[in-house]
Amino acid sequence: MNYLQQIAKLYEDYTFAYDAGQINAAEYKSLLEGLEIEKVVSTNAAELEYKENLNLAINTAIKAASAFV
Amino acid sequence: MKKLIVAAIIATSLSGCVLLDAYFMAGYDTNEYALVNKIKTKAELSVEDCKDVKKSRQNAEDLYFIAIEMKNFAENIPRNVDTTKLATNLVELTKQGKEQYAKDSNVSEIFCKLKLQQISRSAEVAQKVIGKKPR
Repeated sequence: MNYLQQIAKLYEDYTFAYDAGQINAAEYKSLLEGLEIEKVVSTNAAELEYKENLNLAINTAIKAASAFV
Repeated sequence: MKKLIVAAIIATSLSGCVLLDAYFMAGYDTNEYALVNKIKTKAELSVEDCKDVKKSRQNAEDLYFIAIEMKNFAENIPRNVDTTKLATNLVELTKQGKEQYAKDSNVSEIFCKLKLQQISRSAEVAQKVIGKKPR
């Protein structure tokens, strides 16, 4: 299960808890807003990871090029 | 030679801004990593207190404080915009928990557990990438 599938599953779980009266409307709303933030966290983390991989590639390329200088 | 070709491909297929951003990005910082780890650990351990509303309110406030501390630490490090974004996300998430306790004197145990799980998961996602920043 990837991260976004996990978030979809959590949405179902929260809705079930709300429908069953285990959490009130304000709590349900807060949890759904939290899920939105979790999605943003996932996107922001992917952007940072992309830069980290690029940084590694650039440094490797510079080292390789330096060997010829 | 193969690596030079890869370097040439990277250099020609990406804009200068992306390359500069990646090359000069802020490196790994022990304090930053410690703060995100603290958020994750505190969220995990606080689940045990969810039956006690008073303790849980304090835990929610503590988590918010640590997230703010992390954001304040990260935001003034040059070329650290991505980590600052993650810290800001954690501030928003912990603020939601804190606000729920501020406006409701009878927060449910299940909400407490689910909100802490959200914070813990997000902190873990952030921790994994922060730990991989260049040394």
